Amino acid sequence: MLGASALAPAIAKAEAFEEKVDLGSIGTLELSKTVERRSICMWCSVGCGLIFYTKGNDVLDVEGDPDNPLNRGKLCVKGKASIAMFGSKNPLRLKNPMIRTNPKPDYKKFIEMKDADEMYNYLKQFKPVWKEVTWEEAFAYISKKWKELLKESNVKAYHEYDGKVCDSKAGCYFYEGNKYPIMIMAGAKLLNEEAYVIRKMSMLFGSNNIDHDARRCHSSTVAGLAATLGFGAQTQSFPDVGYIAVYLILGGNPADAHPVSMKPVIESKERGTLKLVVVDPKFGRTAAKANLFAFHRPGTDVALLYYILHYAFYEKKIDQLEAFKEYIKRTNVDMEEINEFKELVKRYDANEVSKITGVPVDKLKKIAELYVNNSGVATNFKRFSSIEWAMGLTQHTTGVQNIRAAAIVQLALGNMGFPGGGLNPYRGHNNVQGTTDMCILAHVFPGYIKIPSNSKQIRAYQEWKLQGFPDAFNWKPSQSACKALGLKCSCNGNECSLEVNSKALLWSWWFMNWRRFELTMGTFVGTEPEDRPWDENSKVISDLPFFVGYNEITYVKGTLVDDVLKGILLFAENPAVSDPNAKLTWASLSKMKLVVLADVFETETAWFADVLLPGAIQYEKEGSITNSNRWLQWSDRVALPPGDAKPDLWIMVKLYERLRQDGIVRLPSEEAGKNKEEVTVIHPYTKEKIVMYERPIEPYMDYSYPSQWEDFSEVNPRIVYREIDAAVDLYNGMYDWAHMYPLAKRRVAQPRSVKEVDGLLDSGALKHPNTNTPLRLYKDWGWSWPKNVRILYNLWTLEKTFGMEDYWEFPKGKYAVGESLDGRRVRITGETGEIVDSKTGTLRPAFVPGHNFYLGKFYKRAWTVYGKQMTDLFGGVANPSELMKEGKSLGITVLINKNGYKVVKLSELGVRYPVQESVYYDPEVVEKGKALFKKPYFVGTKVVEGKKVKYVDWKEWKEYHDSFISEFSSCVGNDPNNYRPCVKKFIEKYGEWFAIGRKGVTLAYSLDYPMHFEPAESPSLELAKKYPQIAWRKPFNKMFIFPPKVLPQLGAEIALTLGELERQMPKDAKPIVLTTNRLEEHWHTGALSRNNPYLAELVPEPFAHIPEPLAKELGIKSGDVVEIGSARAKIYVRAMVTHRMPKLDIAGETVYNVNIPWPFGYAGSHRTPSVANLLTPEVGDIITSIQESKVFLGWIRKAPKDKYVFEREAELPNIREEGWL
Amino acid sequence: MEYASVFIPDRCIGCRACQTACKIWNQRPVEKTSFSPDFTNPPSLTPDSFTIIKFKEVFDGEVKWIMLKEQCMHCNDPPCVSACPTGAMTKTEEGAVYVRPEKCIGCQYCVEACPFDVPKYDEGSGKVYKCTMCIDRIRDGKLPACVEACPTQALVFGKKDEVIQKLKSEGFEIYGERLPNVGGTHWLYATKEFKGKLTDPKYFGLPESPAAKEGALPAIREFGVGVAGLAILASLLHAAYWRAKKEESK
Amino acid sequence: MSRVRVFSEVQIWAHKHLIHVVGLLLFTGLPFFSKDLFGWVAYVLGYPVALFIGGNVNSLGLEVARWLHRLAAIVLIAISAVVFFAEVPRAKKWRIWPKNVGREVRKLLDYYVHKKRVPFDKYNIGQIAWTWFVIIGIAVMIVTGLIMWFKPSMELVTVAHELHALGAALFMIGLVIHIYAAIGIPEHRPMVTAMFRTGDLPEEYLKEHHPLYYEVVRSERK
Repeated sequence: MLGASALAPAIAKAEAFEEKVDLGSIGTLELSKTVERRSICMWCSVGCGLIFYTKGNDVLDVEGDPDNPLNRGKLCVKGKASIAMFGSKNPLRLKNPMIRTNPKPDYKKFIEMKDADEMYNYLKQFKPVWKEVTWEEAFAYISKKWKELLKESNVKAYHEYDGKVCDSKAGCYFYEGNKYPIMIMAGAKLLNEEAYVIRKMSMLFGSNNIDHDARRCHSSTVAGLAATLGFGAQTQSFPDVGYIAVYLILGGNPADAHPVSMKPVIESKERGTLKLVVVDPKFGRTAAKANLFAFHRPGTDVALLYYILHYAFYEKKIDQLEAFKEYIKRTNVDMEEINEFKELVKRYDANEVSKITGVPVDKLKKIAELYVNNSGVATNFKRFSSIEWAMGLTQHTTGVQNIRAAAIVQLALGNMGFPGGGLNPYRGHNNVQGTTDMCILAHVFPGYIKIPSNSKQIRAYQEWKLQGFPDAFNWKPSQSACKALGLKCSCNGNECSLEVNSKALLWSWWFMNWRRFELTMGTFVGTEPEDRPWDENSKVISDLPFFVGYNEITYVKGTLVDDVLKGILLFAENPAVSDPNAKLTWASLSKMKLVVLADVFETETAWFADVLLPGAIQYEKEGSITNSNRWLQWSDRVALPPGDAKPDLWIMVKLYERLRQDGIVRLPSEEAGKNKEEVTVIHPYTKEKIVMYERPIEPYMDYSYPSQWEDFSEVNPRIVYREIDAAVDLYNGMYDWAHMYPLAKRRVAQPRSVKEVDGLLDSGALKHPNTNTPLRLYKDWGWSWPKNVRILYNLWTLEKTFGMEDYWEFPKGKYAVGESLDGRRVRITGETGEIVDSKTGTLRPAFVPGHNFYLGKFYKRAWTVYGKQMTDLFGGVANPSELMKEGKSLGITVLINKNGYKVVKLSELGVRYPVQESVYYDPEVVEKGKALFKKPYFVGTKVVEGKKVKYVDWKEWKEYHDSFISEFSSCVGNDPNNYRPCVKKFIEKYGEWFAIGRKGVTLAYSLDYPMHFEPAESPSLELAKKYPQIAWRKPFNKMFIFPPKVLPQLGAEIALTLGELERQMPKDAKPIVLTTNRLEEHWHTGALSRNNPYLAELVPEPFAHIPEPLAKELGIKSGDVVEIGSARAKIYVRAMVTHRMPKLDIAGETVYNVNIPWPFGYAGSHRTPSVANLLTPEVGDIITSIQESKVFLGWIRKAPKDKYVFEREAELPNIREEGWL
Repeated sequence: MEYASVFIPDRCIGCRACQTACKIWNQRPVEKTSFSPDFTNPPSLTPDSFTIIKFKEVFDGEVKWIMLKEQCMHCNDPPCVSACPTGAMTKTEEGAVYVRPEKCIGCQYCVEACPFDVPKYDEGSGKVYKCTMCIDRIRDGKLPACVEACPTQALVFGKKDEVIQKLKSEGFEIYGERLPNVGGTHWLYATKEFKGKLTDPKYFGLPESPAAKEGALPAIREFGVGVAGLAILASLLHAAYWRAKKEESK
Repeated sequence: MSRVRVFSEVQIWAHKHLIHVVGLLLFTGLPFFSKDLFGWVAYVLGYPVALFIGGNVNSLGLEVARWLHRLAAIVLIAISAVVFFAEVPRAKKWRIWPKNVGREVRKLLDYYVHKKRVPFDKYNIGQIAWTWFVIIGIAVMIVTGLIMWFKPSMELVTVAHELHALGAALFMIGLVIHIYAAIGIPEHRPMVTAMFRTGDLPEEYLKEHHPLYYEVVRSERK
């Protein structure tokens, strides 16, 4: 007995000893039999690399890609949860095209309702009932309806002479892009190829009524930055963030929205080289890691940023530093502008800014001191401070002003264009940068190219073509062209010499891009006959649609008020949740007669759809993605979409084919009967016509190309990728035509050798003076626009930060560069970028000596050096298909001499890859790009409402500013109810807002410098009088001041003062300032994340962050149901009572800030009718119309439990029903 | 070779990649959670959530927000292993303590025994589940799933001695190297920013001295078996004595 | 020689089955009580089952042990119920109410140690203590056992687990003494016969070992 009992542990021990634990034996995930597939994360814009472990079409596991320098093998929760998005894992995915069979709600009903529950109860009666159909049937249905709507709207290409838009006696052929009845909204989750194709489609339809998410998230960033610096993008990269000395996060929360981007921040912070400063109305995850944190009132960012400059100029006196003087000279920053601007900044001293922002004076000083003392000019360019922002800065009526202020701070402090210094707008969606660059936007064409607005511009363009497509330096526009384009010319008769300024450079860049569009899309822009551009009897034909269209914000006006938009085509967008003042969106979508939605789930927007098309998530398609810091990476297909679902690119192209086949897509050139272009140049001396080649005009949309997958064989994204390289100048260089290789696919994270292009900067041989760690740019990882530049505006790093010199040889005749570089050894002072040389097929520097502001837009042409040789772009493209599929063009050029010309093959000149080459950049171009402190958004004089308005710059306006303020203030007095009548009165009296009448004209501020303007709904009457909102100048916003007849309700939709709101507010409620935000666990509207069980588990229900003292006053505890209302509507959510929300002292009054996460809606697996955007105002930024969803007034009170509606689908896979609950 | 994972709250941004990574690797189902007043969700460890991030707000004029990762501590002398009658709860030479589900009979003696309240019983399968320290991954040369995911290096994994030495040399304060009753752990907590606060109940509140929750059981076992043995011995002695007396009286 | 009835049929029946049940309970409880000493029990129980359904022998054995333990416990509850209903009506006749404990203990010592003839009643104090221990013990074991089975809360389970283990320990000790006292001392054999078979004792035996009770029986007869 005893023996046996002693044996037992021995047996157990022996067993334990022998026990083997195989990989997967506990977790049951066996990876040894899987295939690894690499992709790029589908959620945020950091661009993390993923490795999926797949077995057939099933996906077992996902890990971060350890090679990818952006995430170095790491992922956040959403990246990890990606795995639950696949069709094999998620039964909620759409699998078949479907057509609605029941009626849609009455749009008028929504406009009257103000209670989220009430709206939901009404909406539920119209929950869509679907009929599954084939793709063929779905397309036929869409095509039929589409045709009806076009007919109803009388869309036509022919326009008679009117002397303004059309100046041709023979008539003009173009579509009015803002009149097309079918709006397109295409989400920022689309790949670059899809984004390009959808914008191209809209151009071929003749529509500029197209827009996407970026309007609502970073449009103000793009407008603010591009106007100041040249490009509207993040200037640093995520790895580069690690070199920053002081990182000011203002209006962003990367730990929530871009978790992996925090990796270098946390590392550097611990190393002690980075101080994290967070200023935010909410203490979030990022704030939890801050060295210095301050609560501020939302909507006061300009004031805060201006205090930093106030400190810099008036306490630190940076403009007296030698480093400062040297810097502004080197980087073309205008000293005169700085001096002018300094005076404006003087007004923003610590006391005033503290009063506006609510940040205590000593904290303000601490922030400014830390920031300025670590800036480039204060440290002789050894340490840099940098600013990060996201929606907190952009989603304001002052969005553009906020971003401009940030850019100006960085410019003045010498933080631009150095490793560790710059501007970091972290973008939201994984490819919002790419879709923005592809310009799914109502106001530009792909690559931020101007939309024509009259026939004279087309004539000038035709003239430019005849001159041989010159750059601005070789352009000799006629007097008519100078006038039409507003160029500065000195003319002698019709012989003009052009002053090469930014306007001329931009026009030549736009023209060059129009030409790219023509050649790659198979369209025509110009006059008929082609050789008489200014003949008033020549027809003007433009396949590029005219006029800026309706955008994401203004389309509700297009539908409900103007009645222009009658249908909508949506790709991967969920405006029912994401658009401000959601009920207007719901009303618009209800009113539309054709709503086509392609998405992966039945979203909130699908409740309004007539046709629902099953799309594919990113991992089920293939293509390139541009992350926030402009890196293009290639995302591979991991698995096939479920059922009959298709990649969006396939859907777009097939739909286009159907529409084209049904005669719905008709180019103006076709209407005009023009089916070929004779590509002609007029000899500059003999004036002889040289016909280079003939080009058929037929819209090109053929992307069939063999692939291992059937759907890719029909529509192959790789072919589109090549087309983007050719069509969009911004992205030119991303395809290596010499080796037929997409550079976005490069996966080399190793350092370059010092001898390669930008090798010194990327070799790791240089140690950043701040961190004492090797400098890396990762130039061989993917590709970055422009021209593979990793740090934007990096002109001076080598010279100043590292005290180094670098040189590059251009042996004579070896490279296809212009005269000023050929045969020279050039000094390189910063990052030069690179292009594949069209003679050697190897990389060579693009921007020499480095690159400054606007480079990429300002260029010289290598092959049209006036009077020597010229070629159409790409050496002539008669057949786009041949170019895209085989990389071939005609490859011809014309050699010109004084008396004659000769047509030769480009290959005879040693040029082997014509597509790769068209532009070059040299020191002369560098000189031309100036950063603009001053950027007037309103210029000249115009007649508004019968009054003559003259827009004046700050220099002039400052004399009138104070009298405008005092006149307005005295009108309002102390009665908040006077505010609205006074705004009205001013607008009626002067014709324009933010204006004052003097000497018979109205003088209005041109907005050349940002200023603090109170939010549209300001909590302080005193401040609202002193800093009145400027947004009422925008015609769209005026709807809320002068409501249209069809929607009189709009007159009460914005509370201009707290007093106005208090009239509507229940007695037992408290007024609050509201902000909305996203959550780390959820994705924007939540359409994807609420249907992802892993993410929904973490935050299943809607709630609001409520400051503790306020909750105490109202008797609210965490978990209680609260009613939150605004002038628009009221919703019911749970309360999260927290000290992480502030109680602020604003101009002597207590202001509470409440924050509502918005990724919740009434469809999907976790549902609530309380869409946060029901509360947000539709009022938009005066430049880009981005909505003010980050600050508005509202009220809060405790609500009965039964008001709160939250439902959950039991259908989700893998959910444990019982358990700890 | 003993290994250890370390949680460094100074670096944690509370993204909860670890929580989901764990769930995915271990194929645990998602739970029906509800609103959490402090983001922690599920609010405690469950048989399906081997690890969670706990969020805690500390307010003393200024607000702080701290994140604490909870999971099995993988004790040196794991009370759960000694309590487990089946040997399902196993400690490996790497220091990992894990349950072999096929051996577990759901008696929950480990649940009773654990001073950190870690093992959780699953009604559905009648078994206990908890963090395995990803012993299967470790033996395959991979990092534990949570460590592998963590984007900010708040989770570190390595040979226990080396990790401790390195963190100490960098000036970190470490929790879990030595602890009463459990003899130290293979999941450690290290901090520079929150020195002295790891065991402060206002902050992280890790137990300074993990309670020996087995209570009197081992004593009872020894007492029972011992005294019963003594009783047998006494009976034999008495029998001899009785018989001797009987002989004597005859 | 006349015989005196000392155990009822119910008592004989109950005692017999208690032995089966307790034996099973003890046996199946042992591997849980101490896996180091009694782990082999799990192997003994698990091996035959594993032959048929396969699996881990130890875990299976414990699973079997646990279910047998629970089954036995149900039987034990049933037996207890029968005894309860049979015995409660005649509670007056129980002679298990201890009085004058000190003297009785001394008597016990005199009997077992000094081997004197001592005037015991129907039960000596040792037997009375054992009876009470068994009654209370079984009740405690049933209650704590049920708590451990159905686990209303883990805090309760922890306490129950300790009590259950303590009960088991005490039972093990008590049973050793009980069995020894019954069969280890040859003079007590008639009692064994009575307990297991006949239910009666020779008057002679009664007079010798339980003289006080003998007096009672005699006076009752009159």
